Amino acid sequence: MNESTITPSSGPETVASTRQMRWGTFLRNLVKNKLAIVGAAIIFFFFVIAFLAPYIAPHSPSATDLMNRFQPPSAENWFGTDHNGRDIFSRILHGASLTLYIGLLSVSIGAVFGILMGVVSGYYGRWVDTVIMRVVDVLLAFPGILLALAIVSALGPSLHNVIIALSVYNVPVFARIVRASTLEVRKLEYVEAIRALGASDAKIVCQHILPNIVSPIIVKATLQIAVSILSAAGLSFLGLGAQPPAPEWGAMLSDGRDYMWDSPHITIFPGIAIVLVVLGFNLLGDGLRDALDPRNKS
Amino acid sequence: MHIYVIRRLLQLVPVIIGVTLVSFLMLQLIPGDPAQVLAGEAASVEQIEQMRENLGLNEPLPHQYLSFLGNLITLDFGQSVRTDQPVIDIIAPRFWITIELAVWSILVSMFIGLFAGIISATKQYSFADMGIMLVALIGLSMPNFWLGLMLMYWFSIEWGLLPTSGWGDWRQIILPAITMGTAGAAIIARMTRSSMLEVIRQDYVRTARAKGVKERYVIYKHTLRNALIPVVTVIGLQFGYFLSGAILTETVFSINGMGRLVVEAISARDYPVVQGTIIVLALCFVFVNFIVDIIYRLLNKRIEMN
Repeated sequence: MNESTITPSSGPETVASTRQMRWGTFLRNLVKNKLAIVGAAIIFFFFVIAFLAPYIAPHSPSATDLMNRFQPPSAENWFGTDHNGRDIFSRILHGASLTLYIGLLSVSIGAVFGILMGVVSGYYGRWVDTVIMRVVDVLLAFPGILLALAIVSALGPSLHNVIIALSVYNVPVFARIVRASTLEVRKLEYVEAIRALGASDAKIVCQHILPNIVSPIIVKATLQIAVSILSAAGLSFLGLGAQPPAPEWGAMLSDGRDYMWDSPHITIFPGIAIVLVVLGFNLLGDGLRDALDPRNKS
Repeated sequence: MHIYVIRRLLQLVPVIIGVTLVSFLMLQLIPGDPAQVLAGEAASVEQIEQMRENLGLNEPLPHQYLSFLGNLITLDFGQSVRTDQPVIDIIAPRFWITIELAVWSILVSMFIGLFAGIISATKQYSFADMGIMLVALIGLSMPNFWLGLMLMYWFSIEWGLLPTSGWGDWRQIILPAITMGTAGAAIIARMTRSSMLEVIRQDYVRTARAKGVKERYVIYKHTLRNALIPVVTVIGLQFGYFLSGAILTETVFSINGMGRLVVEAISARDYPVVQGTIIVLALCFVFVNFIVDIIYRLLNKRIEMN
């Protein structure tokens, strides 16, 4: 069947204009939500730091200076120096890109596989759904960082194994919500109608189902970045993540822990950096959720 | 209800099989020969061959998995590479320490979370509400091990009020329980607030108010009881998450529970212990979820009957 005949002539415009309207309300809602703006600003700030770190860092992140170990914060070393005499401020600046890299990459990989599994599961149903959902159940049966810990302990400690482990950890999260949304959208009358008119599965999924489930995915992805950054920091703290001398914030906390008695500044500053960046993603995620929630259309 | 419990129990079977299968395959993921891994790095060629023979590692994988499963049913998790002790004997005493830590942490998070959530919901958009929600979000954004280190610095090192490490004395419980309970408190507070706000908008609450029922009564009798049902689920899930949270908290405070055990076993490459601990923690989580589902169902049913 020719595609132009199945689309009513007024169709594309109406769809486009409602979509535009939806984006309009969404953006208005988002801007109204001051906390979401604060979150976005924090994230933007850390991206700027991540890109500019090599130019703005006052010292090299790995230059050791054994004459200058355990220096408290001063004009020369804003956040003090660590047990190797390295400038903590410069290390935190350089660590920003690592943290964002881990968070964004593990969520992106996890989301791609999770969306694929969720759409297939929700769209085809039957035994495919049963099998995929049982796999998801099993992956979710490992609480918190336990699954990531198991994977990293088998693969060996490294930054990339942490990303692999956290990607696997993110897959079931996305598979679940995408499946639920797909089921909802698939039952809509117009989707049934297009299918009855003979549109291919791929076309229905790409043009009608995916655009409809984008918003829950974006909200979840934002919040999962926060969770993944925290988990990665935890794994690094246990010595299973980025290996020295990488200026990874979790690993810096692990270093600082041994010198808590006399030099707490080694532990304080990387922790604050983690809290801030995670708070940014949590604020933005919460704000996006509120802005996209149809019940909040006042 | 009985049918629901049985159906829910049957659903557990594939999950339990899956969890054990993933843990079994974990050993295959490790680069190198599993027999070498299980015999330890110092093992001789003969010892490795012996290990291969004993564990049936020459058998095809499905066979191996079935005998692995058979051993698990008799609580045989294999032997530690380091000490040759049965893994179950190493895990058992530490299991209760982790459970105890999780119980204290859940008490902390329930107490703070419910209290804060109720205040927030009853005074929506007030200064207190916004403050509580902001603090909750910061609590959610904090790595709990870092919070633990900070609490340790101030309360133990700087002010000398509480011990830095160990387990047993009540004073040693306070900091780890707060460390682990904070994120849980934040989640429970947020959930309590949104659940209560949902219920407050219901018709029967409006009716109660219209009848002239006192506000305190409206809140505690009509709203809270119904609003707490979804919160129960969240509290149950938190308990499960604390089992994995214990990995970091126990490491920070040097508590000899299962969490610290798994970290030590990983760095010593004592894989049978790692595997055993992961299986026990995951199965506990599955079991807790099961109980939470049943309780949720029971509570919901009471409402239906009322």
